[in-house]
Amino acid sequence: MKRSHVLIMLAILFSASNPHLDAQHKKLRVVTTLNYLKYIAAEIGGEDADVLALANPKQDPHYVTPTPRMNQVAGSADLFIENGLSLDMWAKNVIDASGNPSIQPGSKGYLVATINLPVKELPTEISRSWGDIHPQGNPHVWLDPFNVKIIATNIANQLIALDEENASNYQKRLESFRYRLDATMFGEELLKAVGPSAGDILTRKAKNNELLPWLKSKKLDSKLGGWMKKGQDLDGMKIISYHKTYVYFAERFGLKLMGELEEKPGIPPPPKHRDAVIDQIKREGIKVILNDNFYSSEAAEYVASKSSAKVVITYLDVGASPEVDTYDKLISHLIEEILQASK
Amino acid sequence: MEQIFYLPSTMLWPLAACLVLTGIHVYLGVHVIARKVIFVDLALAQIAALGTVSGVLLGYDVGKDPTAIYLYSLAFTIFGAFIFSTTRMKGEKVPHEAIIGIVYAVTFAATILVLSRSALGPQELDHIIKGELLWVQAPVVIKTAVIYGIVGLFHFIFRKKFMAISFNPAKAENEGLSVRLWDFLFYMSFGFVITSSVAIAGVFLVFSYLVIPSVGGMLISEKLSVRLITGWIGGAIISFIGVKLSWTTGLPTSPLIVVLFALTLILSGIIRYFRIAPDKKSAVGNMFAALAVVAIFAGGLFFFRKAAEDPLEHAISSLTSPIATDRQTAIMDLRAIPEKKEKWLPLVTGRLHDQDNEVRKAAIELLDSLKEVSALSEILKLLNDNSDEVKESAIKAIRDLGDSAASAELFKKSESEPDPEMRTRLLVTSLELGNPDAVLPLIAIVNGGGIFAEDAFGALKDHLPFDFKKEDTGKLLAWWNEHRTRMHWRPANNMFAEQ
Repeated sequence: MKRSHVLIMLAILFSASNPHLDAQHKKLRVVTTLNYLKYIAAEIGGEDADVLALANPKQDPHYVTPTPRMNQVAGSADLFIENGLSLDMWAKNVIDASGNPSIQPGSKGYLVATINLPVKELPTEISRSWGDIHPQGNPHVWLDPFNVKIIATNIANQLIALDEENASNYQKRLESFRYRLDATMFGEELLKAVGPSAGDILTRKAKNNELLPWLKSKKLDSKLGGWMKKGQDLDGMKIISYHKTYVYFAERFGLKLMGELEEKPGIPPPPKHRDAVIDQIKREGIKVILNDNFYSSEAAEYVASKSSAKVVITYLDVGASPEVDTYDKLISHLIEEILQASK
Repeated sequence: MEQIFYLPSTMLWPLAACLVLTGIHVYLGVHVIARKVIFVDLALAQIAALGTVSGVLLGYDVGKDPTAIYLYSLAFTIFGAFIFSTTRMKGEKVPHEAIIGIVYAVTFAATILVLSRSALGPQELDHIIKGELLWVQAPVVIKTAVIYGIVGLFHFIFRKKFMAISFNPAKAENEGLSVRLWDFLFYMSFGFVITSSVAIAGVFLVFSYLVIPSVGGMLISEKLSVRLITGWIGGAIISFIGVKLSWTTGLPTSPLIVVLFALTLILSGIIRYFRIAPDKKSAVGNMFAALAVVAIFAGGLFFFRKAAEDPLEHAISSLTSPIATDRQTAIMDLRAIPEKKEKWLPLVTGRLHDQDNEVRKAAIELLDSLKEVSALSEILKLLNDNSDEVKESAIKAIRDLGDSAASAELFKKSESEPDPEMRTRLLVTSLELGNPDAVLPLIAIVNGGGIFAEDAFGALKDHLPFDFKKEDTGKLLAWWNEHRTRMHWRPANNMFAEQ
């Protein structure tokens, strides 16, 4: 009797703890530089991955001071994901200092999330010789939800390469993430009306700037919902920004970026540039100046005080403020704030 | 003449701010140099900054609670004044400059530590360095002028005491003056000024206003009154020239003024050299020798500048860069040098199999725009690409470059394509390249009545010599079955026609 008790207890113990232990063991440790990447990686990784972000979402992603804690976290990572495009260049220091061979550039455990993306403002021969701050193009790609779909695909592919056993899980989560994003972008009703491959078809139409005429020609325009519907009020609106942060966002929602307050990042603008921006705001009736939360808003406030424009303090990364703790909220918040300020 | 003194109204307040700074700093600079505490302003500015970031850490907002933030930085500054007045040792056992340096380094480091925990981030440090001269407006300038006026008045009333403790502290102490108290009052009023000045002009410019006019005055005369007057006049002139030049050249204002100050300092150094030189002739000789050294140095720098890279070589080496956007840029750059096409064409064709979607797309588009038929077979393979954008570009390129063999490929691909729009597009393109096989599936799409029925209908109508309505596909089908064998594609009319 006693012996069988022990056996049963052992059996219970093993059956209870073993799978648990296994699951713990198999979880991929993913480290990302920025918090929007953490958000996406956690969506795709689900229970198969533990995801951590290094940067403080409130601070400027261009300049993060690596700490020993970051090196330690990266040291035990299976996958390191960075934005790339010369935005989070400090990631290189973390990877070097981590001493972790499996996350070095070129290995399976290293991913530049922005591969396969249509990067804007690639430097030409001329601008390169002038020393461009973003020599690999404008890095603020994630403010266009279509790019986030591609980033999610890149991350899913990398997770699958690292953990083939759970490939179907990652694939499934990628599909549902992409569907959710499509639904938030176009509205579920429109997706259903278009039928198979609706997300892909509508994305192509929007990227080719023919979504609305196309929807009208198919008598589907009344079904449009989501961000694209809301963004119709942004279409054609002229705005000024502090840094060239909103190029992708503006293109997606039809905003017209009329210029930046800074001429070169980090250098006070020439006085004539400052006055030219003020003149332009008055002349063109521009109502909104976008200022990233981590840039000092003195310049924007000065310009606003000389004209009728309003300053909107914007958040760039997921989690920069409690009201933007998911990617969806980040974009919704940005759209809302601009609409509010332009009224 | 009017032209020279013209300044747009938007630059008047920055200029006024500069003049206010000149007024107080040239005077304080005399003290600072006499006390040999040249860098005390940097240290006090950093202490004030530590106060600001501490205020932010404790919950205040720079934009919303400016008064609280200002009081924080002022409290820190007064504390700093206390430190500097109590650490001045008799006989300079430990040089005061060393203590100032230590305070600067430690407060700088502490500021970074506090910043790492706050929402502000490094731009606050940036702000201390560069200031906001360009964004300064009337209320700030007037407020600052009033504060400085009060400090100036205070110093004027007690000028004898302040001068005594700065120029000869030992004598002052013997005469019964409390050096510690008056030191503290000096550093406190100094800190008051620095806190406001740095917020406007940044540490570089404040340091320059403090030290350079005073040093320049020293070079010209030993007399205090002459030093002050030349400092004030010189500072005002440089401020005006700096603001004016910044406007006309587009260079940032504060750093330009600093560099102009240095130039005038060199100039007054030369004047002094000639004035005190015993032999004017050899002085001129030395002057030319110095100029020659400078010219050789500058010429050498220019001579060893980086040679312009050959655009072709640069682009070709970038084509294999590990960074995707570099490869993309390389393809864009090659587009601009079509005259060297034979050198780069095979390399771009090779990029059709790049691992990055956008690079493949850029390669297709370049080959398409060059009407490079030789690349067609490679582009056809990209019909199976997993990126929609690449597929779209490939279909377009095939439409431009294609032949009947390519149209068969397009047709084949359409049979396995799940995306209804892409499938329609493949069939339409196949039809437009003269493939009669595409007609039946297109008729089926029209019959299906889906979203893309219209597109299929339009293509059939455009390219078949048969007039029919959307509802009459039955008629079309009958006509097609009857005429199909006799139909041939006529590229000239973009139509099928009977032979």
